[in-house]
Amino acid sequence: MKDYDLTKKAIFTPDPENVIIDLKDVQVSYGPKHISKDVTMGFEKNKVTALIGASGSGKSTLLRSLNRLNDGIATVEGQILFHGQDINAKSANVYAVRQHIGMVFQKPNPFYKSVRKNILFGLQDQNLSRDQEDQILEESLRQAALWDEVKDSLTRSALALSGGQQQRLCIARALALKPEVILMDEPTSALDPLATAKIEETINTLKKEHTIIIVTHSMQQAGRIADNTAFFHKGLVLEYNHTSRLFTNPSLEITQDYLTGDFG
Amino acid sequence: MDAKKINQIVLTAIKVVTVLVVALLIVIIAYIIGRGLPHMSLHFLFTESEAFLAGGGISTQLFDSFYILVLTLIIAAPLSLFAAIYLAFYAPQNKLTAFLRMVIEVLSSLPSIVVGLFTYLIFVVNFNFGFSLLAGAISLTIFNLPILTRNFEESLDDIDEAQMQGGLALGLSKWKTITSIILPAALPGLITGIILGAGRIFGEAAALIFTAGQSTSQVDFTNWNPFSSDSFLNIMRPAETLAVHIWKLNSEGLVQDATEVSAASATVLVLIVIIFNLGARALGANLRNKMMGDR
Repeated sequence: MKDYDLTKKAIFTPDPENVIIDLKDVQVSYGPKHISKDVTMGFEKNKVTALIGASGSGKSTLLRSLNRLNDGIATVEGQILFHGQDINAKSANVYAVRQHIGMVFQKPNPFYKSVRKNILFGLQDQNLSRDQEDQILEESLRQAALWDEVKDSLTRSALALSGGQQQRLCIARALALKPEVILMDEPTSALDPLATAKIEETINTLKKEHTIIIVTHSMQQAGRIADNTAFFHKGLVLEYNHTSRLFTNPSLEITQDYLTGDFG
Repeated sequence: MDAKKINQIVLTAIKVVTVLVVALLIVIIAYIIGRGLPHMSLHFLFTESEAFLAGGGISTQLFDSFYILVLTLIIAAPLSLFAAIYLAFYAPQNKLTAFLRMVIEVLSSLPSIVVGLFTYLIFVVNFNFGFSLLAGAISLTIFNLPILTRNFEESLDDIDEAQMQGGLALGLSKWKTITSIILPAALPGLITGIILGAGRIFGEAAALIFTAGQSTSQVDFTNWNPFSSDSFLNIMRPAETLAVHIWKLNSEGLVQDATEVSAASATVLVLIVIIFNLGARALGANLRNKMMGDR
């Protein structure tokens, strides 16, 4: 592997007006293993931001810190400002944070329950009427482009759905809580190309009302759906810019090499 | 010798041993059932036992076996479930947890007669329970906690970690995620675990001889007041389970047809344990299919 100068970074600073999540010097470590290092970057509201980089570059770990899913697993230091509030502070209400910042995982993980119960599961404490529930159910499933396929089998087990449908169900389940931000951890890596295309389409429509931060292995996917892209290497965010800029005219040699496959 | 030949020999040896074990099991079961079945009848199942004369049945023993099983599960299942939840989801990976696991292992390898004597000294004598269904149930609980806990922990571990993550990501607490997402998903495994444990409890004799007693009390099956001394529901009355009954008949049975009653009782016992095992599998598979939605 070539020797790159890892102190050189090219991080663009979005207009503070548009920033919804702002990371200040975030460090994540599992015990003695320091995974994410000195991450300082801002995520823009109502945009899709892709995190790319080789396996083990710390992008998933960082993503999981954004809604405190690393609690009890890893130590997260630094500030994670959500609308200016530090959600990484000890005093932050973790449960509220997770309702505002939803998450979709790599492997579809529908609960062992009906489609309907899956979608409404995060809402049980809100004492909604049946009508309100039905409305949220339909709305969320429509947003995730799943309504037409499951509207006649809402009481059937969610595990009977195909892999792609299950993943869209998980997106709908996250949407039911009306989160502002949705984190996606390689949401299509377990799916076939057709199901992947559908999810990407869904992501494109979702960004009108949501901010999406997505970890992806596929540079093509980042190119297709992301407004901004950040390149990670060895836990550091090295380059961050508008996707079109980063892909056509990267500032760093290491980014260039990664994008062209001339890496390692 | 070449690798292929060695492989062949070992494989044959494994097959022979397997066939031997299965054959042994079949012979034992066939022998027990073959001897007992001729004496089995509805009359035998639903008549009270006789002390001296021939022609008695096992109705009270049969009922007491099930009753003590239910009592045991009422005490043991919740305790084991909480222990399993703790071990599967909350216990930190440290020396204390490792020690706890070792204690459970040791408890599971204690001879049941020792557990029985322990319960006898503490509960029957010290706490003045006397020979009673409750003391028997406590003894069986101590004896079965480890295996139930392990069964439960295994079925909880079988549930994908992604389920927990999914619950947490919706803003649910860990406890809420466990109780409302993981436990329902693990239900088939949990039920299978309970029934398999039940088979063990049902056939246990040594742990009961000094705790539940070795004699049937006069039981009135029409008395529904659990506080009345001759009610079938009274948990403070002594009771002789089927397994203890068999032991008793063979060691000091005075009844004229002791051999026949013992053989038929053993048949009933074996059949029920087999039904438990097969039932556990069928029920578990059935529930799992229902949840997966491929009906």
